[in-house]
Amino acid sequence: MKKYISFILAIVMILSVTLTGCEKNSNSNDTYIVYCLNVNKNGILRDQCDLKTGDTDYMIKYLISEMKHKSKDPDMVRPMGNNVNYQDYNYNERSGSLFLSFDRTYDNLEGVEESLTRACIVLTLLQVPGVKDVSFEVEHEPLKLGTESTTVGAMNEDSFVLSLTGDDSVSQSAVLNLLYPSGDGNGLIFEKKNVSYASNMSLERVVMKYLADKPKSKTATPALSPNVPILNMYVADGVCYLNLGAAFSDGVSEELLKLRVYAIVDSLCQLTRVKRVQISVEGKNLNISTDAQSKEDALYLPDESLILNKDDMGK
Amino acid sequence: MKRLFKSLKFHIFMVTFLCTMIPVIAIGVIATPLFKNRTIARNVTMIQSQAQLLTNQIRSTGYIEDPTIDFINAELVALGNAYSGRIVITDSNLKVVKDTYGVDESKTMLWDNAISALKGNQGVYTDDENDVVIVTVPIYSLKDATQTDSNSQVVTDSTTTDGSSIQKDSISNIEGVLVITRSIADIEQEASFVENLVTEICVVLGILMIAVSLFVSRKFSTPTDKFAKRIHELRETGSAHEYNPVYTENADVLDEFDRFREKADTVEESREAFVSNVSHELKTPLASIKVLADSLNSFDGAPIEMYKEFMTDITAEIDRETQIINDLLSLVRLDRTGAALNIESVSLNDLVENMLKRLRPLAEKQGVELVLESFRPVVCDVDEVKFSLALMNLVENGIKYNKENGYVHVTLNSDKSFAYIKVEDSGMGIPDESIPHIFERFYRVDKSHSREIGGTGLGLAIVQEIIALHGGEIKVSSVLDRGTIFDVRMPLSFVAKGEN
Repeated sequence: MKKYISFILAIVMILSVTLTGCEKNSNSNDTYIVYCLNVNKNGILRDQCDLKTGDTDYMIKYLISEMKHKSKDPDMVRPMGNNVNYQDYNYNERSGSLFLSFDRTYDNLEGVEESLTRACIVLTLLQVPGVKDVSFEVEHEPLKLGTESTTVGAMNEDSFVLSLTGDDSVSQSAVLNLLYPSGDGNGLIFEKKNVSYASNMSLERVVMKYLADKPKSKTATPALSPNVPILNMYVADGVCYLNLGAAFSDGVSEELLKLRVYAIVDSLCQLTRVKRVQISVEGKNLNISTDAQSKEDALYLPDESLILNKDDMGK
Repeated sequence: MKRLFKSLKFHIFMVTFLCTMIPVIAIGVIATPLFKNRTIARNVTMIQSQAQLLTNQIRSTGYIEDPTIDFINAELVALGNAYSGRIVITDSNLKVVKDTYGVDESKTMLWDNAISALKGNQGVYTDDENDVVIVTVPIYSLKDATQTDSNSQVVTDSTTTDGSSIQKDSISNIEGVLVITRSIADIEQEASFVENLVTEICVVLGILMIAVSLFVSRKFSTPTDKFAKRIHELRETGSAHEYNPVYTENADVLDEFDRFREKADTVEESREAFVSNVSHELKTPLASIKVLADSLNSFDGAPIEMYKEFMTDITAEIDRETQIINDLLSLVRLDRTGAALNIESVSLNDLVENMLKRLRPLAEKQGVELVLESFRPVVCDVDEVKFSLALMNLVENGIKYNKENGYVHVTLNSDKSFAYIKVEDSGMGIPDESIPHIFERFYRVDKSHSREIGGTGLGLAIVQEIIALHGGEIKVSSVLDRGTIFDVRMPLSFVAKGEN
């Protein structure tokens, strides 16, 4: 026991020392990412450099020179090394546009290597506050790529998809209008949420994910439990087809089930491309709607009468 | 606590419990991920074969150049719906030309799996966080129709270190990448179901096995418990209930224990007998002394001659008592295990001669002839004092229990390992029924004549002890009224007891 305590104390002491050390650094220099290619030139790695945040021109020049130098890490290849002849840059403060000029040797870059190099340079320079987009010029003409020689215009973060999984894939953001069942069973409670999500997830899935979370309001309850699997979900012609696992309806009272169903339906119908929702449980249609017509095919229309705090929705 | 952990019950319980639970748990732990991975793999192959169909259609319609082709788009949507997932198509520069989610169109995709597909590698990526599996498939151009028919990876045979030239080759025959994302929530659900089932089975089995293990451990440790109880009973009350153990091993232990007990009882009995004998023997001379003294006291005006006679008798009794006590002491000293022997290499011829010389007066008085016959010089490792005492007792017995004009023959011989001493007399002999008992302490063949003959009844016991201490053997044979022969065999080299 004693050994454990002294070990933990030691760790805490070491951590506090190093963290205070870090504090000191951040007063003078910030850490910026230098995007590099990997040795095989088929992926992007992140390197670091220290740079004082301040004068835009200085920062641009510094980052460019960092991208020209050889990296300390032998696995990383700096994007503006030997094979790219960079000439000059032109920064327009009013529009936030940055133009980089290269000579004809840029055309030697092809395919994946070109895309990766370009992405590294653009993403690195976009870190500079005030730089909103980056454009490339080859021999004073806008860069053209592809069999059709299409112009590659101004590029920003949205121009590249770094990954379909992991942190790099969380590139989308949206404002969701979510409805949750109220704890007393009287109706639905509205909540707005700002969310970020991966590009590989459909917006409907994101809605379902947040409906399974605990809502902010203390009087609301989740619309479904997180262990209910979504067996199938897709949208076609304005109808969202949703097939849930048996855990959704097993052991749930009919009142609560109806409230939950409408929480889901109303939330999904807030999305522009969903007008109606068809719900089934383990492939079988779930029929508990208030509307007599949709009772048979389990095709639900949103029922806004259930919403208790409609006034909040206007904001 | 420590007692519990060392107990047989605990060990049997743990062995039974662990031997059943560990394999079951191991199977459970292995089965669930195995099942999940196989199911995902099967789905992936299905996706990949679908992808082949799709890439053929994309290639043959030139979809990548013109992403507005209706029937391809319809297929993409249908496939996306069927997979509850997303389909993305890029051109040879990894620019996204179609995204069924509409999110990444016109962007350049730099995901490493997609880049790898551009080099001809089919990829599979399982994203556990979002419960999806992502399959990447290269879209080959028309130029290499043969290659696109196979599902196998393209191996670029170029071994140059210059990355760019390899890319040149692969790009010329791959015109894009197809990325298919499939939701595997349904597979996850199945896997959870299996996992829960396995867990439930393990729990139920665990509880059952606890009961079974308890029962088994009880059953197999009960015999030992009963045994301990039995011994306890015997110790406290001296007797115990009949007990027939079920298992052979326990029956064997019980047998050995009973025999040990019998031996202990016998030893105890003989010790009790010895103690009562000792007190009897010690009391006898004292009783005679008392009688003699009392008679003297009660006799008024006894003449001096009578006093003298009685005092001689009293002195003789005291001598007798002293002899008994001395003999007892030597016996006790010999009894102590590890009695110190003073072993020396001794010429037995000399030893026996000296001993006989000392006994000649007694022999002459009894009218018994003493003869020594030595066949050869014998040197033996003995404790001179003790061994002399032993031989002396034997020869003395031979003289005492003899007839008029009888003899005592002592023969000395040896071979490579042993010395042989024979003491033969022409005495009254020992009856057959007495022979097994003559070495017992205080045993007298003929109690009635003990006073006249003298002695303490301990002589032969002492002889046997001394010979045994030297590692030797003594045997006796006798014929009534003819004589007795004592054969002694002694190892020439002394080997202490316990050594080999």
